[in-house]
Amino acid sequence: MAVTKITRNGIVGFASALVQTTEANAGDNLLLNASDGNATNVNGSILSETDNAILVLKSHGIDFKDDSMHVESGSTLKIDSGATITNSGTSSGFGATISNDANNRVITADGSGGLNGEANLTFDGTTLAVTGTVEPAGDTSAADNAAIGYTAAEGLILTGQGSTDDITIKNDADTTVVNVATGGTDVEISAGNIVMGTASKGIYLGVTSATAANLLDDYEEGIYVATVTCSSSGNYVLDTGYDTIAYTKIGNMVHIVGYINVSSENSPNGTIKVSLPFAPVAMDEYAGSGYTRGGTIVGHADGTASSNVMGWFDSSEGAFMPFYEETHATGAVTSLQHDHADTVFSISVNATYFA
Amino acid sequence: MALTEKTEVDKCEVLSNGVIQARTALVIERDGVEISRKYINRKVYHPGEDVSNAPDMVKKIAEVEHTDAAITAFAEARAAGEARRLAMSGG
Repeated sequence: MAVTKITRNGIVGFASALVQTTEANAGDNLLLNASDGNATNVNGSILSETDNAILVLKSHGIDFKDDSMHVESGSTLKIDSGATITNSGTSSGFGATISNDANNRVITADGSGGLNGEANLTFDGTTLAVTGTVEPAGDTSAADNAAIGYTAAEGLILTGQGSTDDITIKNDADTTVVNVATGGTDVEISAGNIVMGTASKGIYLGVTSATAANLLDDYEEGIYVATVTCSSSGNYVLDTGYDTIAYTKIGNMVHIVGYINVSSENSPNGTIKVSLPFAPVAMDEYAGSGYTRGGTIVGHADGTASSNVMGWFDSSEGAFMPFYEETHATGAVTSLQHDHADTVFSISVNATYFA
Repeated sequence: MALTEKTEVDKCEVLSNGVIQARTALVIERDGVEISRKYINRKVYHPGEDVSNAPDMVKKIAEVEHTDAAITAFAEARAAGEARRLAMSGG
């Protein structure tokens, strides 16, 4: 039987033209048709006053077709728990329109009541990706799990907390490179070394500001092929298997250790001297200069040399350690001349100097 | 996998008095990638010293740094140091 009029709680009755005239069957929807352009009043809500509006009441929901639904000021559109809202077209009617919509783009307000899909800010369910920079504007706090912050005084701040480390920096192979233990204040270089990006740069030790005298900026270890010459002319020939001296330079301190053999000579004339890996540096007065028992000649058989042989470090000599003799009887020191040593002898060095 | 070995003068330092300190390194590479560098020699070239057999890098530096003035100054400083040292030590 066709429905011609519905009256309930003051609802205005519908003209017959508004009512579906086909007889309803069990399970059919109730359809209210405002095809004549008149207002339709359902439960106090006004559907479109001018457009054709069709309200279909289904057993599982409400479907507005061909037109919009108007919720008046002061009223509430309530979506029950378990219900969903699906935007299958434009967002018109929800109060905002999404511009630049694309998959995974994060939506931001555009300041004009609309929404914008950010091309440079995406989230795929796992990774939040930013094309550009992230600039925190606030400080971090104690107990932050993993936070990035900023203050005008401290600049970039990284804070975290974990059961083993509070901060961990890893490389692409997931290997820990730098870490700070939980609650700790030491920085640990876990798997590598510290490499300065610029040569001759170092670490200021024992001070809190850059002080030249506290800068450790050089370390080197190696060997060098020594030469033995004389101050005036000529030289000595070394055994190829006994001609190297090891050195280690720490800051401005050089330590040399070695044993070399002279096997023959080429017209030596003058003070015997052995080469150094670095030239001694000039310091105030004789600071940095001096004789050393750590450099001596051994195995030489000269009958007149009743003396102790010593080496000498001095910037004026360049990278050589000349030898001197301290006469036993008088304590006088003279340079060790070529004629005070045999053709074949050895030189032993185990000395430290500044370069 | 190809291992290659070469030596190179990888550092030259010039001191204010014209002394040139050259370092020679032994470099081992695997497929062109350095895997080891060891310093096998250091040689110091003083003003006035013969550099005809020195590495090219040293020769070029010496052309600039080992001027007549630098050679004279270094020789005078060396002689003065020697004399001062012996006089101080009773030699």
